Amino acid sequence: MTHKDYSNIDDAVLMEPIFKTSRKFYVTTGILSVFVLWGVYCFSVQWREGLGVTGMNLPVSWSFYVTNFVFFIGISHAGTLISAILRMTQAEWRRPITRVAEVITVAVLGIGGMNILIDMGRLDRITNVFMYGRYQSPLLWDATSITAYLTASSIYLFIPMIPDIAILKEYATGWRKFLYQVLSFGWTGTERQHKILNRVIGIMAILVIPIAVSVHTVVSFVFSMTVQPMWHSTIFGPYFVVGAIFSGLAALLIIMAVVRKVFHLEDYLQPIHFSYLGLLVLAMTLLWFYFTFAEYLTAYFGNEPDEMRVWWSKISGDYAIYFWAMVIFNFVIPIPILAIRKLRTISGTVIASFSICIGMWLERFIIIIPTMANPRLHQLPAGSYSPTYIEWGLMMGCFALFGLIYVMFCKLFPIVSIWEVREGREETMKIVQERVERYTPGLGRLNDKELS
Amino acid sequence: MNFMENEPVLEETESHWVFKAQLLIIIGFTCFAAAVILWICRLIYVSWDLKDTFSGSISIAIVAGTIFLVILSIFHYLVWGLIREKKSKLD
Repeated sequence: MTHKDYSNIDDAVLMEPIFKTSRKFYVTTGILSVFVLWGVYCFSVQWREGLGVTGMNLPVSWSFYVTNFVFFIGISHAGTLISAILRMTQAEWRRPITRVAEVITVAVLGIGGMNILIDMGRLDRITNVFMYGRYQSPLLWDATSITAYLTASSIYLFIPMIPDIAILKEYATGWRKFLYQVLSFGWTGTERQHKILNRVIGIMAILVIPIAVSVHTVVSFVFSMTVQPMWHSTIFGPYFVVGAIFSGLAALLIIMAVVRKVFHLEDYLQPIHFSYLGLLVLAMTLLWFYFTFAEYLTAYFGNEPDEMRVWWSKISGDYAIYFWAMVIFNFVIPIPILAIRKLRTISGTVIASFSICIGMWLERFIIIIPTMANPRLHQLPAGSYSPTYIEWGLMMGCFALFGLIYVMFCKLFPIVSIWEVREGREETMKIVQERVERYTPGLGRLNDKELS
Repeated sequence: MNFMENEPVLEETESHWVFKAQLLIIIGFTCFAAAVILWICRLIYVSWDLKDTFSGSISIAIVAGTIFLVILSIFHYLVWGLIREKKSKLD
């Protein structure tokens, strides 16, 4: 036995995936590892042969990798940003979902950044970025803001884990006990330690919101700071941020459903959590549609020849199938599912979320490829692009790596915050009652009278 | 039952290796943040040396550098706060 008996404590189910290893764990990690290794192999081929093994060409020099980069960075907004907003607004229903979300951020940010390295081709020249980078370039703004976001998100994930790690320390043995002893940083649950922890969580929640918003704004600047047709747009910043939160929430819902099913967390992740998040996704769907409509209408009304070439290639040209698929996946499918209460069930929200994730990946694709294929430089011929097995392999590898990181995290740490759930169980009613009394006219005064 | 229940009891016999490993994490994170700040400073120097939008680089660097300093300060405040509280309780 590699652990002490924990079955008699509250929330034992949250510790089960950590201390019990089923065959499913080995099968899952095995399958994911195969895909990751396939991705590594594809990268080794690209490293050896150069970027010529990809479908990229002149003028389409940004393609799958940059699409994946924008997509993964977008997904990262699921975690820290959503968690911070829910914490700041004191949404009590947040307690079981914050960590599920925060892990997504840390995992996908690294993978998103990795896609840029894959896209570089000459990775041996990476040191030039450190030595001679120019802050004149939005690409370097990106590198800086993503590093800041990854650092802040990792700290923001780690801080609320400390009390849980201290609980695990009590039940683990061997190397795990040592690991938890180290990472708990002497947590004993005193009032002073709680005060420090809550203060730091509060500061970090405030800090990560502007960082998160800046990250996807800066990602959009990579495109909008150029004069390429249909990229040079002032609304790209907010458009990208909205899209990021939209796809991030969808990814969060999918992962919540998987975690709930696999680890039997039905008591923690209840239908109401899916319904509330579903409503948020619905709001984001409408907002995304509004921005897309504004973006395309403005370009159409301007009728600038270069812009219109790209515009028509999306609406009825080579990329029409992807464009209309994006509209169907991002708007037509999710709207009825999320708007009708009867359909906004766990299965319903997961179907809508899958649809949105596909749609948002297509959106990133549709932003990048048609513009690259129809550049403003008329000396260049109109291009076309189709990905090779190397790009597909690396894309699959990235998704598998995300899964693998998530599975390994669940093996080491509780995916639902034990102490926050306990705190909620004990104090939510009191906190909510106090809050309602504070803002409901008459109720507070009534209490004052009663007290006097 | 209070939510604090089931939380760990104070262990007096945590090995010195635990503290050493914690110190390693703290030093590692500090070095990482310092390296990023140094990198940002280096980029400012390059922009000044090459007369390449020095003012723009300064404004971006001030924001980025400050963020890393704040994160570093928060981290130190937290870990030293927790460690000191435990030590004072043991004493």
